[in-house]
Amino acid sequence: MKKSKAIIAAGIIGLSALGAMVANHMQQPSLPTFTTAYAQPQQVTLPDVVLGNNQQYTSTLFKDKWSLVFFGYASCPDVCPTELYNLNNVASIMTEAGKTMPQVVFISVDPQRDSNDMLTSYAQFYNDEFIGITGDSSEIDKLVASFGVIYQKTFLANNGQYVSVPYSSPIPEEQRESYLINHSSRLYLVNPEGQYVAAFAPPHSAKKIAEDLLKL
Amino acid sequence: MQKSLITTLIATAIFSAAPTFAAEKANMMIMDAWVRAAPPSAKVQAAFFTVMNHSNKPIVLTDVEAQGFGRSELHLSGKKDGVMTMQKQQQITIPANTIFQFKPGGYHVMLLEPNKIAASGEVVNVSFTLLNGEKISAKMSVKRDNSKAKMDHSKMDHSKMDHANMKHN
Repeated sequence: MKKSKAIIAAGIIGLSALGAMVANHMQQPSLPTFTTAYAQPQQVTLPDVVLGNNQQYTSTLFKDKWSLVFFGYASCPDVCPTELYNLNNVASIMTEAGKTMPQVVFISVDPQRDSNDMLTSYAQFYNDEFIGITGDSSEIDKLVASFGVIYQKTFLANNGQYVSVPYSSPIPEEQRESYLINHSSRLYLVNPEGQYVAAFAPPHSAKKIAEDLLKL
Repeated sequence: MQKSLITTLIATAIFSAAPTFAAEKANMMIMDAWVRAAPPSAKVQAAFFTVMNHSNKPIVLTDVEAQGFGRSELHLSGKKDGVMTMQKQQQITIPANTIFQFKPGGYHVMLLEPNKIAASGEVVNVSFTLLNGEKISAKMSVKRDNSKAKMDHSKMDHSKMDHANMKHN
């Protein structure tokens, strides 16, 4: 009796493991085995959002092509330029290999200081094809939630200590132009169905990212 | 014709070999200094360089000023719980007899409140104050990390090729 229970339990565990494997395979049918990127256990269908000037970008932005999505802000002196220059290197590698580079979408989480017009020229400075956009914080936050991005305003308070607060929180008048933003610096891969499927964790090597993208 | 071609070649050679400057004092040297080219619409730029401390004592950088920028700060980028952070440093200590790098993703000088974003090919004068009150200045060339990749040749429009960086304005 005890033995048969154990066999049944083992069978259930075995079956559910098999089920999970099948489910995983079915959920991510188009994904190759990545070397560097972390595949999401399940695709995350991105919500409908409206970004850009005159509602220029909707969820169709992520349809019918692969995308690499990065969140940042234009007053970012080091991390964002490093990433954008790096993605331009990825584009070079892809072009040399004769493959299509995913579209690069740089989303500013700082609409209080960044406009869509300036973000367009900002992104194109690194590569003519890169897209730079922002939108209402409420729209951005929908995407942020899907990707699991964290971002906070941070500024040097009078006591010499850095203070981090939610983006929408009021901050001292004298900090309104000079605050920094701490932000997640993962690079997100979105499939042509508009689903978030994998992420690259920093530090990002152009060669390694391209290696995975070439498998798509 | 030939002369103009040669002139062009010389001009190209001068342009492509971005000048590198070194600033030297008896006990220290600043070398491989550069300011990262940024979009004209950017609000900040960053400067990177290598400091060689030849002395047997630490050298402490306490302040920095850059020509053409209202404010400059010593900064350190870092990663905490998967989030990129940046913090102003009150001072940075270069240990005795070491080569210390300011590089992307780490220590850098943040250049704020630009009169105008410094373009590729320009030179920015950056001056550091040391803890002992001395100053050392370095000339830093502005340059891109890489040139723009062309992603789709069928759509390539030569009128839009990247000559913007070549303006000596």
